Amino acid sequence: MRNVAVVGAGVFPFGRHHDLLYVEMGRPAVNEAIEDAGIDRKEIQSCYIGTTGGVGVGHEILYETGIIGIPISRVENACVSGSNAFRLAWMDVALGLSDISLVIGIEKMKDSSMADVAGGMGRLKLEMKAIAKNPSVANFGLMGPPGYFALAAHRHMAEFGTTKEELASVTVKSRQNAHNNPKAEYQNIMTVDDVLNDKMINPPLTRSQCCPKTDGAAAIIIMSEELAKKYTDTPVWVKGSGLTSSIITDLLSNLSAMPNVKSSRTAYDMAKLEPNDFFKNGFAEVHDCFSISEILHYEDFGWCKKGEGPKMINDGITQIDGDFPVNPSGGLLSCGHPLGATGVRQIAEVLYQMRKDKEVAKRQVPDENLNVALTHTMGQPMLGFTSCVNIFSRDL
Amino acid sequence: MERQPLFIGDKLNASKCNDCGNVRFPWMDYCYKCQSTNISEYLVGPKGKLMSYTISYSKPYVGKIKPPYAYAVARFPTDNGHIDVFGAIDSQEPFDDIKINGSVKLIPDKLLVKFKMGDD
Ligand SMILES: [Zn+2]
Repeated sequence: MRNVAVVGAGVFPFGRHHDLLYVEMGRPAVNEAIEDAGIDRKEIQSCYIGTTGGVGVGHEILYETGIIGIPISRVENACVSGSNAFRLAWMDVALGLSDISLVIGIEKMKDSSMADVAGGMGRLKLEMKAIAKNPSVANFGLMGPPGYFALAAHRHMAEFGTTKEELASVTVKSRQNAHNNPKAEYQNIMTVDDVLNDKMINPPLTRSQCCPKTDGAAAIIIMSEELAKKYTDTPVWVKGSGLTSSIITDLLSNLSAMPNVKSSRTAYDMAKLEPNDFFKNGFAEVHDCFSISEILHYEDFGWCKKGEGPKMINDGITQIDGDFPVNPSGGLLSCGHPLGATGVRQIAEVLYQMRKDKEVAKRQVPDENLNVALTHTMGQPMLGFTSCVNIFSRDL
Repeated sequence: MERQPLFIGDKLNASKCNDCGNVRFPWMDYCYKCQSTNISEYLVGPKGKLMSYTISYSKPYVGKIKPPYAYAVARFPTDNGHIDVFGAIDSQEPFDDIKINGSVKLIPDKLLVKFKMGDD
């Protein structure tokens, strides 16, 4: 396999864009990534687009950006779609099929339900007659998206004495970082009390402990080592990737999500890194879809022992100025979570941070933490459960 | 594959693999761990332990439960361990009777797994 570098990125502001078509969010993100990479768009040889709801929009975006006649694949894997699209583009360039590949992540969510965007309602319609008669599936119709994590949060509290204030502190950290991210949907500072007094969604999770449904797009350009050395002095290298399948029934009261454990282990092994190698050396963008999620990820990724996730927050270890900054962008809780766009936005953040771009000057991770970075998304495609971890480094 | 009921009497209609011992619910005529089709009926419950719960304030995708409603994961012993089962809790606002680690009992139903708090 060839070495592959991330060389350019573009992010269309995450938020509420009722009046914009997919293509009107995707085109600016792609143009920004091309300009950032300093390439001629005619050099792009393949495209992977992560989106759950955007049927056909990849073709429209390519056409409208003047990139015509290349292979394009739409990747649907719930909240993992963007990370998964990146992984396929990386494989494409690493194998030598393309020298330069474009990764797009995009979603429009504000005007519909999660189940519509993610295709769940579509599938229910196709399968409704069978599902109504099949108790093995019908039972899960009780549980909305925050349900699994609300159950995990209550169990974590009962088993380890985790408090609701500790859960709320994840959102407080998220907003502190997003306050300096003009492309985040929510940039307001919140206190623990603000978070706890917010509207209750699924106890113990209040609204600001649940990531919003958001409109947004992101794009990145990746290329082979040979070309990267021609185009940039500051490439970010892809060092490892893991993607794992499962179903949710295994995970309900277990406070460890096997796909997260397995994806991170696969990526660590490929990158020749261990969990401890991120402290005073790296940073991460993880899938904080809910406050408890970020705490569970610390534990599943081996950054602390099971049950000790809240201590990472309490001790400030994962703040921007801590030993191991997590979600300097503000993460999903504050940036918002346009499903397919999230995994691509995270990689854009890694590039901006490692290059010390003006874009992130106010939320810049310290120098000593810029050597390695981990991005992570996880998703629940209906009864499925999946996770993708990608690892990057500044030096090859 | 024949459709099987969720409950037999007041117990869950689970299945047990005669080759590797894996117990799964709902019933299936094969084992996902070892792919065996040598499967026996195996009844679980009706008494278990509440592992966790939450409350929904909007209506479910399936079923006729009115919000707000509580749902939960309960743990039931098997002869070689336990299985965790997801279902609704029979409780009303303000849901004060729901206690994590408390005893639960199954309430037989055609479409949904349901629990109530307590030993009887
Ligand atoms: Zn078996």
